[in-house]
Amino acid sequence: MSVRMLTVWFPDWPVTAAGFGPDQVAAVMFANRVVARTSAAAAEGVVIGQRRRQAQRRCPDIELIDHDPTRDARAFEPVVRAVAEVSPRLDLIEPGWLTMAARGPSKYFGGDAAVAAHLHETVATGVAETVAADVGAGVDVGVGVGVADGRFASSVAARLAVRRRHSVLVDAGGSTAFCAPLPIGWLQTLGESDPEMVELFVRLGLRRLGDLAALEPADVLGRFGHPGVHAHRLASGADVRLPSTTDPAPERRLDQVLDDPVAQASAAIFVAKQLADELTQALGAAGRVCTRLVVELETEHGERSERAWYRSAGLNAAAMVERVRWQLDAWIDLQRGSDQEITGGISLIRLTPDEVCADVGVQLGLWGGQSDADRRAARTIARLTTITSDAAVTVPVWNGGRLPADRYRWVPASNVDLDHRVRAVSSAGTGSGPSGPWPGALPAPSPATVFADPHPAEVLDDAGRPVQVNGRGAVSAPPAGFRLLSGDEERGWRRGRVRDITAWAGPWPVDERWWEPGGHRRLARFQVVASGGGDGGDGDGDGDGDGDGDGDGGQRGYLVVAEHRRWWVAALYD
Amino acid sequence: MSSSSTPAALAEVLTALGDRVAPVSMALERTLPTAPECADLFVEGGLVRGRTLSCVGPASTTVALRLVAGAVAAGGWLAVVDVPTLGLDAVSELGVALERVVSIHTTADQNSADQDSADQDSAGVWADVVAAAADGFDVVLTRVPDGVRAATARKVATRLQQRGVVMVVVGDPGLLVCDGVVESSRQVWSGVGAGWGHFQHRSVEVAATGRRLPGRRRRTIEFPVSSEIAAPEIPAQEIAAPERSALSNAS
Repeated sequence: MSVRMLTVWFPDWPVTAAGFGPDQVAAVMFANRVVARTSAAAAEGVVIGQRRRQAQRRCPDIELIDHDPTRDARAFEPVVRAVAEVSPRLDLIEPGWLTMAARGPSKYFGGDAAVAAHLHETVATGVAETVAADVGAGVDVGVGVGVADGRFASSVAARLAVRRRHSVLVDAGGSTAFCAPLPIGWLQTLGESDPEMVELFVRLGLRRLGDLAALEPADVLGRFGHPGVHAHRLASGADVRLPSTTDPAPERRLDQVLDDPVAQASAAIFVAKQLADELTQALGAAGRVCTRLVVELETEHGERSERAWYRSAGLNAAAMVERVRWQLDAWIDLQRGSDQEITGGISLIRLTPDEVCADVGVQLGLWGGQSDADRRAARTIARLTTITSDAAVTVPVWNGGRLPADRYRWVPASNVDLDHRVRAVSSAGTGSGPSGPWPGALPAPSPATVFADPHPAEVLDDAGRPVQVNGRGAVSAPPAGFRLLSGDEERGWRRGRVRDITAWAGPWPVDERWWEPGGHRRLARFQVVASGGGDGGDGDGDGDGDGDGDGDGGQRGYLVVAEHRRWWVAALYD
Repeated sequence: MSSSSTPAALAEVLTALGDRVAPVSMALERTLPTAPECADLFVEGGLVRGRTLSCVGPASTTVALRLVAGAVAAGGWLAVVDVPTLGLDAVSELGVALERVVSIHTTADQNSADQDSADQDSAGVWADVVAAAADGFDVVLTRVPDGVRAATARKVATRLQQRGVVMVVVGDPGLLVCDGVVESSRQVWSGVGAGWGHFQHRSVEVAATGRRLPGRRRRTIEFPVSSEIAAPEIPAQEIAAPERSALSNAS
């Protein structure tokens, strides 16, 4: 018998968190894909998973914002606090999505319908006041409330509630019948199954959850392994809570009392990292994984923040730390003057695994999951972050663009789930790597050294006069040589040695973002082969130390750009 | 089955033998795979763990990336320390899997008036970062900052040896003592002329020398290489390759 659960879900929370109302046209992007959009943007045809280009084509005046999970968590804190007034025992799944046991509040308010209506009102007005305050009063931020047996069914109900514009209540014992006619894609939407698995179900003709539920569990296990059984359980309307789930002994609880209360979030996170590592190791030794984690934080002045975080696939150490970070950031960001405001340094951090289950996820290794090297690297990344800073440890994300410097972006590794990255990159192409041709970009091979700030240069013709490129992309004279400039314009350039250009190609003009005054760029690209000499252009163009001049040196390739009547060396093919 | 037990038994004998003739054969076994066209540069046919290589010359970055491509393709992770100018398109074209690339910056932002002490600081952070990266990464690609002292450089080298990590230095290694130098001496571009074409192809003459590399091995590498890297012939027990099985029971 599943526990009766209530779910509150905000559609496209990241855009709401970024401060956009449903009437504005906006979308949140991650790795060149839409992860969330407002309903106005949805009406224009912007779809989740769409590429930046396609979204802009559908809707040219769309506002695009970068994804920031911490911002989502911060903005969600007032909502959590409002809901906590109704029931303190609630589970956060991710910012914008929380569940709680419905039985207690339901008895108090007099029925599921009453509690759902009460929550809908509290939460919707709360969000309209805090998050959407600058958008204007009377904005109806969409929120869905659903009640059903089991977490999965109630989450589905909450999502349907947004569409139907009223709370969806499923009768006790009715979850199986409720799920049966729904498309099987819900498993993927709620993040319970891989896209590949769902696609496979569809190919096999299992188009509805009911079709899958009708199969024998033993057959599903034999064919699809543990992930299949998990999907089958959910489709049958059973709870997410696996039969192997237990409430662990209290000694599993780990805490750290800080004698010197820390006032900086990063220092507290560092302690949390150690605790999380220790906890996952202890659980891992017993072959278990934590699915529900309670994070308690306490300050030297006795203020407390306690949150339960839930993830059906289990929380690894990195995910635990991420959740501590969200909780802490949200707490720090709380409005001054509210009763639960933080006033002192953190003096206690406690991680309590509240639900653990057998670690069946390890089986996924067969499908190309984590290897030992991946795990070691993930640990080391956490450590490197503490030596340097969050922003200093980065991983590449595909961005797209015509110029080499635009094509990839480095994002902090702490904001990326490295476990899921491998799968995301290999299957959907959402992580990094171009998933199609990019018109107007230079063909391969690409330059191995790309300057974020191009080096100023001069390109000369054979008479030593500067070469110019006109608006139509015509060159005044064939380039014959170029030299790097150092110093700056006011104090006069120091000119480097002239290198002879033996071959060149171009110009390839770029005229991009002409509709946007701030982002408009107009330039022409050239590929240039120059002979001989040390380059001195490695990174820090201070006084090009090419005294060594290694004679022949062969040919060197450069990407030279003409922009604003000036020349720049944008990249080296070295 | 006898066919599966024989190699196991053989491996056992070999391990026992390896213990007895320790240092010589160990170096051979402890190699990371490299790209096939780079394998000839080294007697061992791969990158020996714990060694530091330096890449210099007009195609240094490209050659360095190609050297490490094999190890990353086999499931290893690449730490890029202080090479902010790395062109990621080239990285991916040279066969390095981008999902296993992590970049770390060590240069501090503070504008210290005292240039020397700032150099010392950043060199210290660089050493710490490389030492920490050695714990979890298989390959480190780096540029040595100014102001690294000989003692710091030695400490870093010892740490890399203990952890069995290959470090590839792009550009001037400073006071760091490298086990091998891979020098790209000449490169010839083709596909581009006087105002026409675009870069298509280049051939780079590469020579490997150094105190741990007997003789001078030369060869010419043609770029672009085919981006496919053959499965490593050296069984990489230490780097478990997450292979996507064709026989996965889901299909």
